[in-house]
Amino acid sequence: MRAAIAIFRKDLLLEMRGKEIVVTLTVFSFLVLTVFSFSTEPGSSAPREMAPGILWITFLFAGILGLGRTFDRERENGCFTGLLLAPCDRMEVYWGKCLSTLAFLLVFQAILWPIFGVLYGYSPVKGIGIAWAGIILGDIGFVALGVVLSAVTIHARGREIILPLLLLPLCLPVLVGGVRVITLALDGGSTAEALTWIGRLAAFDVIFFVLGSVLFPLVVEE
Amino acid sequence: METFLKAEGLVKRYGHIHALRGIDLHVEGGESLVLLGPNGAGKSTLLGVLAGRVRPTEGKVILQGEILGKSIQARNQTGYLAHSSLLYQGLTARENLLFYGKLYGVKDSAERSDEMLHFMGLWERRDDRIGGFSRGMEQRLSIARCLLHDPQLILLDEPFSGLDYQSSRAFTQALKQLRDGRRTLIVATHDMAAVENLGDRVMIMNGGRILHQGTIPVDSPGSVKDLYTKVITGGKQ
Repeated sequence: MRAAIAIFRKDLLLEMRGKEIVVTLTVFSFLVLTVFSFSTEPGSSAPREMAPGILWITFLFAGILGLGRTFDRERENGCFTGLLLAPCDRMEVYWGKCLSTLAFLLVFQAILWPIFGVLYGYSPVKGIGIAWAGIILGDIGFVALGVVLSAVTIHARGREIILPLLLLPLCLPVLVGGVRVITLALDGGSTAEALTWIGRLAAFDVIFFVLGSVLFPLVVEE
Repeated sequence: METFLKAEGLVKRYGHIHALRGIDLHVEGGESLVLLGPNGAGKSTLLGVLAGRVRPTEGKVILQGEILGKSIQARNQTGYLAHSSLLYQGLTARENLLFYGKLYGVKDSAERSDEMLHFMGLWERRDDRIGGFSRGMEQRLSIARCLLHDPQLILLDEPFSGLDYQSSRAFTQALKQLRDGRRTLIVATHDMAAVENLGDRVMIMNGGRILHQGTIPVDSPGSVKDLYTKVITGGKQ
């Protein structure tokens, strides 16, 4: 885990200095949530009903933006090559990038959560435990897939298009599970059903993470 | 005695492009080898393969008995100076070295980073972000990164590119210090003048093949250039 922790700490240091990723994701997501909240008739219940879906779609697109930014730093000066030359299992590079991307997502989502509550008329504390279990598990699945695909497309022309094209269809289980958990948590639905979805998200995470760990060292070889 | 570095039948294809066409290479410990060749000769690809960055389509590289690519230990023995600096613009010189020290599992990485900053004459600029560094300073920090884990094999890809005369001279001096008989150096360069200072042996490549291998001629100034021209043009000028 030595190399993974070193990469994680390096990414945090770069982000604490520039705050580029978290600020970009927060502003982007705030704009999307705000625009959606004004897109229906005043007094209509539609925004509230659609809120969990809007929230997760915002998370996914912001997450893609975040992945792009994280890997832009690695592309600069060929730094990604520097990571691959390290005398460690390349899985560790994958774990390090997963950890830092996950941290950035969670920070911006924590900032966004109360804003989401205000815009869509939800109490930010109602069902917070279940909602955040869904968000964290959904993020893990997204990051596990996203980091592998970002590594595949790091040197590709048109990677801004290719990455979402590859990633979004694969993330459908995360989207469906995440939306269901948030809906059940915020609308006071059945806890048992919410836990079932949380279990499914956890299962997806395990599959995606194991696959990612195995595939990453293979896809980064030139 | 076992050869320090051995490459057997290296072939590298990118689609229909043959970057390497059956390279066999033997390098003894402590030796310095200079790779010469025109653009597209395969020098950078060969260094990439030796560094473990590029997987050969055919053939293998054996470093101190370990097959490169599969062995983490072999990667630990290698320092690679690429075309790009592999340094983070948003970090200071010291932070970059500390990060690579941790990544490479260097013991006392803080002490070692400071030692390398002194060695490369960058101590005064240690807390400056490298975004503001000149090309020469960035290149010196790159070599510090490359040497941080005290590798036995040092691979330098065009180390003089983009350097002005003064930086190039200072850099040559730093590289000469590395020829201590303990480390093995392989340098790919276009700079003929630097060859005599850097190598024991020269290898001239073109079209992914080795055209000539031998000791560096030191008969008269310009001998290397004459040899290069003769080999590349096949004696027709």
